[in-house]
This record gives sequence, structure tokens and C-alpha cells, in this order.
Amino acid sequence: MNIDVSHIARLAHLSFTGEELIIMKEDMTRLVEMVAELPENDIQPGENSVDAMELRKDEVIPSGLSKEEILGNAPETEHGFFVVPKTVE
Amino acid sequence: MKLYQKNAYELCRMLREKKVSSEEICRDVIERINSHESRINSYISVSNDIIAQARAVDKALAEGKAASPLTGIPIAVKDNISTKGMKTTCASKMLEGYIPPYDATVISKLRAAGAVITGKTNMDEFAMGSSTEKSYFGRTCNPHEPLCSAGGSSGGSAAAVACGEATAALGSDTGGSVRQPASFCGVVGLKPTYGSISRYGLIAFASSLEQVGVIGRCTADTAMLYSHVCGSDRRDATSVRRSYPDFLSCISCDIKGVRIGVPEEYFGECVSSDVRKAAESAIDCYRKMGAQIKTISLPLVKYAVNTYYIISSAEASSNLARYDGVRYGYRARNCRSLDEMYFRTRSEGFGSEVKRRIMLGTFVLSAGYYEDYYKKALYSREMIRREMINAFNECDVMITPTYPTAAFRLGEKDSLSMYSGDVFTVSANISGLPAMSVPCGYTEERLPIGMQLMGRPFSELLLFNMGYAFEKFTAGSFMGGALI
Repeated sequence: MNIDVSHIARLAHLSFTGEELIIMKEDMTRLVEMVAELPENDIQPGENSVDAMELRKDEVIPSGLSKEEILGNAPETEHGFFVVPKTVE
Repeated sequence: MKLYQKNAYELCRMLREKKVSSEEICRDVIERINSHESRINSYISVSNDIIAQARAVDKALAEGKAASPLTGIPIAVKDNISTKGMKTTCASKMLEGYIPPYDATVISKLRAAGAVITGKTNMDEFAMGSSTEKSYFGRTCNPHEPLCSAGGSSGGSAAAVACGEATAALGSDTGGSVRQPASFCGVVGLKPTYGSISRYGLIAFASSLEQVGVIGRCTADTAMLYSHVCGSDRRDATSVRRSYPDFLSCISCDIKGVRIGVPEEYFGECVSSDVRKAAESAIDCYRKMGAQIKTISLPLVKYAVNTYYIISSAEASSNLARYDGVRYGYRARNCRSLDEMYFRTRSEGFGSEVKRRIMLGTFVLSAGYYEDYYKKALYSREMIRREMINAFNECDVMITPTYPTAAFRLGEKDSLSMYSGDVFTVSANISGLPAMSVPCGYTEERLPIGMQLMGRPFSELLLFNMGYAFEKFTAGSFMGGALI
């Protein structure tokens, strides 16, 4: 199997050096080959594949956290906002 | 006997009879931490207010305030469970400086019960691993033999309890991460029924598989801790609404007539001879106690590891997408664009195992492969679950080895060969069933061996009875961790 590791890395927002990419490709190939063996599905169409979950109230539970507490872990903030690199020129 | 060597239920009795204070217990545990941490590395961070917590408990007890069995007992917490005001790193550079602004529900319950939180324990990064070697903060060693792994990913929690650096601990179990380290370290570890303990505040890896689990040096301690942290929670949509008994007061040795299923697939060639011997000898003990033993077959179990790695990696790739350097955690420096920040933050912040799982998860969910991998794994999961549930028509509980071998040497296994070792534990996660590892023997090198007890959903009491009966029958021969 030829896995396009660069494409998968782009989707996952990860970057690798050339050498890392070669190792990742080897690992991924071995891993994907390992996990590929799965049973043939014998669950009939229309048969519910999971137990129905209990219905719940559509409720929003307040976190009770202040804006300061939520911003407290951010790498960079300004005037109560998260700061990120400029996105619009 | 020193206080760090005592079980939680004994300490609880001593506290009630005012024979000891929580401060005395905690000082003993701190001394143990100070003398053993450089060798074992169970903790990522030790609480700096252990004595203050203990004194507050002692004061409340002196004032006659209501106490729970956990009041004043030192409990360690895996570092992927959120603790307000205390670093919660998931053993990752990505969350090295992260301080949660809230407590996980299990932590709120521990605090309400008056437990003393000793610190945050080491683990494989984001709970991805079976050896606690994949931690950004160094590996944890097995207290029985420091050249061996403590197991993982809750290796720090299991090692701390085995070593007397805490009396009991919380871990998390996505594919065996409480049971396997419990087995390696000679302690009891429970992965309860999916939905029985709130996951609110447990940092997500694979949400449909993981549960907070409990670790103790004996079954009674494990039952006691579980009684305090289980229960429904409005903050966790997967939490099941039902009532739970006080497991410690219900526990009993009477297992006469219990039907024990022994799945033949769990005793194949991959099992080492000493593990097989210990598990078979435990089954023999149960026979002598009046249980009925029956060989059963679970032919689909051979697909469990593959199914698990596809589903858990897919969920991980989604759950870990939140680490983008914007709201919390690590951010790469001097980035000129948002895209550069995302890519560099994630590439610099995650370790190699986490990246490998994100890559696998992204692949199995990507266009062209989703049907062949992820969707097929979901069907496989359902087939395995049905097979497991149906097997309980023939038996009440299953016994298997927890892991094919005792603790392996540090550095001995690569990631991929470690994956296949999870073969006995992942089925309980795939099926949402409760499963507990109980020490049942030693290898010739005196390394602990664990057996796994698996039951129907919400049959934790039966598992506790089974563990408790075995401990009594064998006069606690395999209990006590590595306390000398």
C-alpha cells in the first residue's frame, strides 16, 4: 500500500522533516497493514448497530468560569481576546 | 508496620478511632515519596499542600464534622484528570504549563469526601502507550524491579500505590491503561462499566472507549474508592443515570455457584508460561471455592486490537485537533501566519507516539479509506460487543490473564509490538464492560502477575466479590505491592 503521508500530515496539521517523513511512512505502512484485518460484517442492513441512548433534556450547564479564568491559559491575549498571527492582510 | 504500608480501609478505621491523624499518615507518605521518587518517578508533580490538606481534615474530624471512608486518605491522581489550580499536563510538552480553571467531577467528589490529593502521576503522553516510557517528563520504573516498566498508560498511578507513595489512585483506561499497570505493579485496578464514572474533566483521547479507573492495593480499597467516584453527572452526556450501592459494605466472599467462563482464545501461544500457570492456578482456587468453571470461545476477539487501534486513533485525531496554540497549551514562537502557527505548534508540542496515532486516525477517516477502515471497525466493534454480551448467557464472569507477560524491561519493546500486547484488555473497552485486574502470582524473578475479571455491564459488585474472595482464599499472598 502506498500511503500519501504528506497529504495525511497536511490534513492533520503536522509537519515532518524529510527524514521524519520516511520513518512515518514506514510506521504507517506497517500499522495500516496490521489493522487492516477485520471481520466481514454480518450485521444486517437496518439492524441497529448501537444501543439507543437515553434521551436527555436539552440543557446548557453553565461552567461558572469567569472570562479571566478562561483566558488565563492562553499563550497570548489582549483586551480580553485571544491573540493570533494576522490572518487578513 | 508503617502507615504508608496500610490499606485505605485500615487507615479509615484508625482515623475514626482517633489512633492516628491524617497528618501523620501524610507525613509517612511524603517521606516515602522523598525517598523513592528519584528511582521510581511516579509523579509529574507532588502537591505542595499535602500537609495543609491533612490538617484541614484533622481539624474537621476534631470538630466532629461528618467523615466519609476516604476522609484523610492520601490519593494520587493521573495527570490527565483536571485539577483546579494544579498543573495537568497529560505528560505532554503541549500542556506543560496548563493549569485547569476547574476540577473534574471525580476530583470534586474526592475533595467533598475529604481525600488528600498527593499529586499528579506520570503517564504515557495523552494516555497513548502501555509502558509510561512515552512521557515528556521521563519514564516511570516498576517498584518491584526498576529496570522494568510499570506498565501504562497509568504507570505512575500504579507505581505510586505499589510503592506506598499514595494509598490509592485514580487512573484512566482506554484500552487497558489501568489494568495492565496494575498487573505489572501487583495492585488491583478497575476499569468500570462505560458511563458509570463521569468523564467531565478527563482530558479526552478516545471518548467512546475511555473511563476513569481506580487503583488500590487490595480489592476492598478499590471498591471503597470506586464507591466515591461513580455516579451520574449532568456534565457528561455519556454518564448513565442509575443508583450505586456502597460497594465496600456490600462486598462478600460468597462466590459459590458463580459461573466462571474461561475464554480459550486468551490462553493461546502468546501467553508466557508463568502467566498461564498463575491464571490457571487462580481458576483452580475458584473451583475449590465452589465456582463452576466452563471453557468458552470468543472467536472475534482476534480482531479486537485492530478494531481498537482504528477507532481510538480516529477519535484521537479528532479530539487532539483542539491543540492549535490559540486558547491553551504550547504555542510555537515567532510564527508569521496562522497556518504556520498551527503546524509548528502541533509538530513541536506533540511527541512521536501521539503524532503516529493522529496520523493513523486522520488516515482511517480520510476520503477513500473511511469505508475500508473506520466504518468496518465500527461494525467489527458491534460484532465483538455482541459476542461478549452473548457469552454472558453461559457465564457470570470471565477470567483471563490481564497481559500476556509480566512487566517487560524498559526499552525492550517498540510501539508497534506493544500494541499487540493489549489483546486481552481492549475488548472490555470496545464493549463497555467492567473489568478488573487482581494480582494472582509472581514470576520466578518475583515480578507480579495479574488476572483479569470481566463481567456484564454494571456487575462491579460481582467483580469485587471475586477479587475479595480470592484474596481471602490465598491469605493475601499476592497483595501489598512493593512496600518493603
